[in-house]
Amino acid sequence: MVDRAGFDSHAWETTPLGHSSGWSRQLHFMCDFLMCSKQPMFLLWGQERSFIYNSAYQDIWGIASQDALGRPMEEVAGANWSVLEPQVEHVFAGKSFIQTDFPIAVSGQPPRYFDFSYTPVYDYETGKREVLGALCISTDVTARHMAVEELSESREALALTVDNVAEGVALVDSSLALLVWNEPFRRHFGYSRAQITTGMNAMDLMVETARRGDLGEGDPQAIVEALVHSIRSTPHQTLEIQRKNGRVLNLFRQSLSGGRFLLVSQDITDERTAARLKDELVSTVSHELRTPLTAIAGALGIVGAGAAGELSEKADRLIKIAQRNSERLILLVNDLLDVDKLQSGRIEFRLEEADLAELVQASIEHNLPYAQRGGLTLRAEVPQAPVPVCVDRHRMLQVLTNLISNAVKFSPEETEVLVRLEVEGRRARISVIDRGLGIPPEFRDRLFQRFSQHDSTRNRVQQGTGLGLAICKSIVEHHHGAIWLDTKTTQGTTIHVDLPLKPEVGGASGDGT
Amino acid sequence: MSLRVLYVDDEEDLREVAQMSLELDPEIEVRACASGAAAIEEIDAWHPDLILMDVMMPDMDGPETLRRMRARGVAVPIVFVTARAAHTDVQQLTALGADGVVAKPFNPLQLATQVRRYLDSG
Repeated sequence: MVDRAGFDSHAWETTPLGHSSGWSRQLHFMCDFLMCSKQPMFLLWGQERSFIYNSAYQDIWGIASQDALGRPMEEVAGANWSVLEPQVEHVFAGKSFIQTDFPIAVSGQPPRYFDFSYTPVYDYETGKREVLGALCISTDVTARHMAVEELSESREALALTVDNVAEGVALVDSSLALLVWNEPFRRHFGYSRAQITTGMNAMDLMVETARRGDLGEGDPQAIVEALVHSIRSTPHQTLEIQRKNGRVLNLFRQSLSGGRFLLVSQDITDERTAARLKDELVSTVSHELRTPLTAIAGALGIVGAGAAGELSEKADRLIKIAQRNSERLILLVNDLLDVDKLQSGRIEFRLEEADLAELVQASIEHNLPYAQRGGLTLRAEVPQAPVPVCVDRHRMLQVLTNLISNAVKFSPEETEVLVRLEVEGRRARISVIDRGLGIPPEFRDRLFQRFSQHDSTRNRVQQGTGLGLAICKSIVEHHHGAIWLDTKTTQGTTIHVDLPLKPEVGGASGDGT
Repeated sequence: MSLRVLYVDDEEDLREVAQMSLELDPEIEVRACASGAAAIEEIDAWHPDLILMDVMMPDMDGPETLRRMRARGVAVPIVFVTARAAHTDVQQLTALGADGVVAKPFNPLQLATQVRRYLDSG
């Protein structure tokens, strides 16, 4: 290490500087200054540019030897001299400068970064404006360098993200200056490249959009002022923008800290078109299928009723088969339409007070002929007193009928299907219990999903649409109820439906069970 | 007393089935037309007591035919037969001046009864 003792005992006489007794006072002073300083620094002195450095400077290069002390820099630097020389000569010409962020990597360590500040040292003893040496003071700026690098990396990552998402993105500050925007945002709103620039006033963009009529009819300035007002007064907002060119945009705004806000735009034209086409298709299916079905069911109904003349027994049986199957087709069309309506939330529920016990009886009666054909017993266990609920009668009958017909469908002959109605607290519970094969565990999770149907149906005529339970679930949930499979049942299948009782009923009905 | 029902539908098979369904009631007399325009002419010639009409028809659809009939002073009940008989559809048709809606597919054995309901109340 170049400590004071090492410095003093150095063999200076072997260097161009000669023995220290022959040095100028200024060189002594400069060397004292270097030896005392904790700041890494070096001095190049005299015509030979002799290299003098302190221990702090040694540390940054990770060297302990003081062999280089006093030797000409050209020798010490070796191949690097060609790079170093112009800088050194610059200082000797009387110029000072700072070299920044110079990386130094010491054996296997991550690089550290240094600023090197070069200063000419003039001859103060003679008073001549002659440069005797070059002083270089270095500062470790690794922390600053890393921070800048991280910042530029995160800026790059942000730009990369913003430029590569499908959504349009724009960030605006409290003074409405556009801080960040991406290409999809420009395209969604149809701004030319000249029209949108970082730092511009976002108000100008809004006015341009309003002027094109993309924000509706009216005075563009007034539309934009109303928009800015809503931006200032609400934390977030979703706008559907119907552009004049036919595109439909979904624009979401989220206010952020410091009065900034983020805009995210999506082009939803294709989704809208698809939704419209689907609605049209459903409507077409509804009309195009129901019209011929009406003719078929109508014709069969008239013939089947004997209104077109007496039928032979065989013809009557055939007509009944045709009737059953046309009914099945009608149910299928209805199911498909119901699912579509439930899915899009367009189904209408007309709630009215009803006696659940009566609905259970009605749905059992409806399924009775069907059950008897399969040699099954269909039995109801209902309380004596009415069970008042507030339901859409038609839809609730649809649920019960569906559950009972499922139970019948999956029951072996000569068994019983039981429908039990109980009141528990403020809720009514319907349980549909059969003695069939039960539902295999692997199928249970999908039971209430659309188009799920287990193939263990006894192959009678009554295969369903695979939509029934999905529809039931939707309807029950619309009534704030729940439907689930009893997994504790070991034999057969039990499905429970819970419905809230109609509020404010007397205790009598509840005590009926 | 015989009741005259005019059935309007562009579907020939449906016209025939509906006519036969309605005629299961011996007191109902039925004539069928394939278009709104033909129906308007038939009204002037035949003076039906009730008009039963499809909604979706080419050229002139049900609501448009209804509008023209009402504009011409036709005051007898006009009932639509439609595959789209959801509550809102019914409300829309009623708002246009329809007296009622029969859902497709209809039960052929009950069609006459359904139609009579509008005649009795009218």
